Amino acid sequence: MREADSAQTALAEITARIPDLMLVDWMMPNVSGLELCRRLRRNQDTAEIPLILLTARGEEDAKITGLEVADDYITKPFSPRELVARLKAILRRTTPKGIEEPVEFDGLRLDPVGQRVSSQGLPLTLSPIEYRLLQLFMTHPERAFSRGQLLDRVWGGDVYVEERTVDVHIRRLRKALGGRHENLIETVRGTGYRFAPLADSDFQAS
Amino acid sequence: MNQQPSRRVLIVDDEPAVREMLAVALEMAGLRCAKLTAHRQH
Repeated sequence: MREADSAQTALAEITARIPDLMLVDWMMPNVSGLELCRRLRRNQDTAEIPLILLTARGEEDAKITGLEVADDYITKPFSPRELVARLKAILRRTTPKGIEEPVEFDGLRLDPVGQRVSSQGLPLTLSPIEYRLLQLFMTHPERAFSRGQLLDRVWGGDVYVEERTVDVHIRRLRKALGGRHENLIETVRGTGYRFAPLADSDFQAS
Repeated sequence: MNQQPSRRVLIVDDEPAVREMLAVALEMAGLRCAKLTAHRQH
C-alpha cells in the first residue's frame, strides 16, 4: 500500500500509474477526497479517470456537490455487491473505442472482438504483447506514454519487466506493421512512445 | 491473441477495514486493486 502525505504526493502517485477507476473516500485528513477529485479533474493526465466518491454523508446537498465532480456517489454503509455492480457499469460506459469496437487508421484495422489486425485487408501476425501495445496506441492517438506507463497498461503492474524490454517490443511491432504503418509509432525523446496518425488522414472507429 | 490485463482500481481510503473489504470484493470480481492512504500529520 502506498502512503501520501499531501495532495501533491497523492497526485504524483496516481499520475505515475493511472488506474482504470478510483474509489475515493470523501473524509480524508489533510485534503478531502472531494478536493482530491477536483484536482484530478483539473490535471490533463488524470481528468478522465472514472471516480466514485464514498461517504457517510447522505444529505441531498452533499450528493449533488459530489456528483458535480465524481461519476458516482455511494453512501456508507454500502453493499459490496452493489458497489461492484456500479463500478462495473461505469467501466463499461467508459470503455474506449478499440476495446469493444474496431478502430481503423489509413488501412490499419484492429478488431478487438475477433482479435485480428490487418493492413490494407491483409492479416498481420502479432504476438499478444504487440497486439496489446497496438491496441493501447490506437485507442489513444497522439498521447505520449512513458515506458513505465506502457509496462503498467500492457504487461500489468504485477509483472517485473525492465523498461528496455518495451523498446524491443516496439521495434518488433514496427517491423510487423511494415513500411506503410511502421512510422505511426513515434519515439518521444525523454518520455517513451506515441501513436501519431497523420493529420490529414482519417482516424475512425467503425 | 489478446489476453487483457484485468482493470485496475485504486482505493483511496483511510479506514483500513473499509480498504480491505473493498479490495476483497473487487478482487473477487476479477479486478486488480491498489491502495493509497493519506499519511496523518500530527
